[in-house]
Amino acid sequence: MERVLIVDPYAVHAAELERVLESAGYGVTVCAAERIALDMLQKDRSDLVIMVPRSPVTLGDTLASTRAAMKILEKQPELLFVLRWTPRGPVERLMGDRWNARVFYEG
Amino acid sequence: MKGRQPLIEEVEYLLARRRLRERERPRLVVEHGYHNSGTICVRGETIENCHLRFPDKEIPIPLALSGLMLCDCMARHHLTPLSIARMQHILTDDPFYRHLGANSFERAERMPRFTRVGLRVYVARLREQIGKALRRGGSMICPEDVLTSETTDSNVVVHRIDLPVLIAHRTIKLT
Repeated sequence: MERVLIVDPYAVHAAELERVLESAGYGVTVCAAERIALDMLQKDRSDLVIMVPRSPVTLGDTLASTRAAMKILEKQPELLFVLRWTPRGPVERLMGDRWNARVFYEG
Repeated sequence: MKGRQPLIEEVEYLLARRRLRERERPRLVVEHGYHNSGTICVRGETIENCHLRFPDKEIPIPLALSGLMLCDCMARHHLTPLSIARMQHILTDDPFYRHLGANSFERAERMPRFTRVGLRVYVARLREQIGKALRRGGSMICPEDVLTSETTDSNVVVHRIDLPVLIAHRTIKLT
């Protein structure tokens, strides 16, 4: 079974996404705090990590620190950043490209 | 769950892409020769060849000695992204490379001298040769996804081989 790690500070959204992914047949772990998630990443064999940053200001740092935490993993998970704000040009997608992460806007 | 449907589709696409890449993803095999049984990767061994091992075939990666040494270095450190400076240090000072081929009776080739400028070229050439071997093996993985280069937080570019790696040894008896 493929495993997904959701890192979302908003518990209601995280629980809803967890329920949907579990009903689609994925094993799901949810974590609210980025710092704990980065520790978990190194122990948990996730196939996909869904990160929900709190704000545009922290996006770059979150991308960089997530990639740094994943560097030692033999099998690197896919990274999906879910942004809950309106796109402001291509900068955030380009940032995702630089760090080999997919950027997805959820309205 | 209509509102969440695009996100679920994105998740499914990423995981399907990952499964496909894993099926297409070969293992990088580096073969050492003149190996004494009971030891692993010690001075005196040779680097015989590098190849990609797919489930049903092996595709050689044609490399000169300098490329073989670089490939071996990156394979042995494949969990650690290496800067050019670090590669130079390893290839120059590690006893394995300083005494490369000492067990062989045929050591005729001069050891290459690694400069930082030269290593940047070798990395690019290695990536190109890996790309050709991937195509010959039928894989559509981009060579940039196999020999990755990225900039660290201190603006240093580091390189890494992102494939499963196997260092194989051919044993000889030295009497």
